[in-house]
Amino acid sequence: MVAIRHSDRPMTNGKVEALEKRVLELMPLFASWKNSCVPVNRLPPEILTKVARFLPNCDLYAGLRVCRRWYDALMSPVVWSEIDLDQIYQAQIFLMRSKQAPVDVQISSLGEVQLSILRACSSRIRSLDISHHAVQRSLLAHFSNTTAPLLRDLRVSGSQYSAAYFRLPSAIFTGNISSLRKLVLTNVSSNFTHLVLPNLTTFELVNTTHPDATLSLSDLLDFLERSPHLISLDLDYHSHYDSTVALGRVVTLHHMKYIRINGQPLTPSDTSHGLLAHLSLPSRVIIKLSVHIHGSGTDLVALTIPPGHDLIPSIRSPESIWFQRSSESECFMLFSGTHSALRIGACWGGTHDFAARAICSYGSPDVSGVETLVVENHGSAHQYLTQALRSLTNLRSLKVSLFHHAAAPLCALRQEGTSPLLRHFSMDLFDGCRVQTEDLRKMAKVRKSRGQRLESLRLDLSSGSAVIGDISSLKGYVGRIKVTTDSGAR
Amino acid sequence: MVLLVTSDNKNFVVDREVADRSVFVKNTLEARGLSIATPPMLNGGCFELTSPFLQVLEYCQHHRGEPLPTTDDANADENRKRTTDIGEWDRKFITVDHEMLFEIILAANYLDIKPLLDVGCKTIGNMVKGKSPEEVRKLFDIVNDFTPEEEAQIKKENEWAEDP
Repeated sequence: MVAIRHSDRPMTNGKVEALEKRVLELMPLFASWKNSCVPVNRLPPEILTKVARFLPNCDLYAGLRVCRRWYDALMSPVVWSEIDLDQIYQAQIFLMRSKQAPVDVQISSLGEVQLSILRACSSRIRSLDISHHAVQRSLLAHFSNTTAPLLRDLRVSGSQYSAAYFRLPSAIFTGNISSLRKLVLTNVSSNFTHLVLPNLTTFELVNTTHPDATLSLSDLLDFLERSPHLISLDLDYHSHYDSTVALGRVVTLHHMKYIRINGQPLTPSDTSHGLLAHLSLPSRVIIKLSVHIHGSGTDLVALTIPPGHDLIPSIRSPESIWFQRSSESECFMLFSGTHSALRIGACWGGTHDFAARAICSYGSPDVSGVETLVVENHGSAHQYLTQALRSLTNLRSLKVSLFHHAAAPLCALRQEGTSPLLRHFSMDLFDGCRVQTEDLRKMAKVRKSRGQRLESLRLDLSSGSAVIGDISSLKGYVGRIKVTTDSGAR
Repeated sequence: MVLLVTSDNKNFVVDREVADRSVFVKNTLEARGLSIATPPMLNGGCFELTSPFLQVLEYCQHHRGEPLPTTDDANADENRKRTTDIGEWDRKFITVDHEMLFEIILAANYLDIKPLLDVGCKTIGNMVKGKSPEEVRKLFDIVNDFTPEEEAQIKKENEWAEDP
């Protein structure tokens, strides 16, 4: 500290200057002390560091200049761990400041410089996101011996329009990446199946139709078999699988929680099964399927859901089905195994009866275990719903979502032979869809006369839909009636 | 039910499900095999604890029953900067004065309630975004404590960030 005493003796110029210099030196120190008392600085440096991770790069620079305390917190290596190799100069600064911290790297144009940087930091790459536009294949050859022991997350995107599919994964890293948890491949050739990824938990494959993209089902099963810890599988694959050599194989994935298959999970062959038929899965797995069927002629599509799955949350049929029907093609879906709940949705604009036909049309699928059926957007073809309800002999609960033709399911429920156990019926009505209480009453009366009285009826009305008539006329035919609207229950 | 005691000796009785939002409390309860009471003393030092703690409880009440972040999520979280979007309820909840915001963040940090800590940090981040150093200082009552030489040095080190 400097003690300044009042003195009679005049100070020399030298002394004044020295003192002034000292005061100037101390000013920042006082300022720092002052800063240490302001409320924001109750936050420990590691929280400032965390805040910095939510800041775009341009604001990091401003943050560094706020005060010493912020400078120190923001110079923490984790703040600089996100490397954009498309901006070489900046990337080099980030690499330097991130010191030895794991880094997340993204690249879209790969040249010599980027490759050398990538090689230099490969030992601390935690995630790598490569989108391919103009990568020279020859450059990648340099890469084959590079290892990335920390790599957890790898995303590779090729260009949909490039002549050759991107063959990056094998070119860059050696086949066994035991650290890898997440792999996302978009428009990449099918040469990934040789990779050994024993700890992979998430796998996404997005490919558009391309001759190079033909995937052997048996190779895919090999790949899945080597990754027994998979939790999530997302296939958006529009090419055909070649399944000729996969018959009879079963791959066990004990940890699977979520499967989404969009595209063509099946082959157009009578004897083959979809991918799902080859998987042994835990019973609580969520399966989402969207099936697109291209081409003409007779496409027989048999979907076998392995037994033991309680819930098939969503099976959607896209628009293309409609055109399929207008040609000579037929489309069937076969469910086998025991499911206690089934949820089926047909896309708006698709064939409304598809969902119900799915249940009843092919062979005699064992759906007797189904107790709950949810049909979304079912339309006019009540005869299919009637058939479906006849197949589901143990159905206890039915829910339909409707945009129009509210009378159709009511008509179906009046028919003989529908599940005698059905007790709970619920309708969600949208977009101005109207239901007549007279239709409801007829249905409830018929069921009651057969000793199949509904215990509960529920109507959810939204976006302009309405019940026409006096709902109280249903009293006596139905146990509980609940009507909810956009603006609350009544 | 669980009894929580703050360092200023206020008692709070909450549902286990609510208390479990705090990984700190959850682990403490599990480690001691307690189900009735536990005193997670909040060593807050000199500032009043009850009011931020009430806020934190409100947050835990609202988000009760939601899945707690797993280790895998935490790892994923280290990868890439995530969105700075904040849910509507959370945004309203965190719209408080600076003092309260900082204390909520401190409490979330201490009690290990990661989603709440994130909401707090994002909120500060959103305040700082697009501001000059001087504006940030003004916002938080900070004074410039760099020497002119240091300032020049930082400027030089960060030429990359200057407008082209």
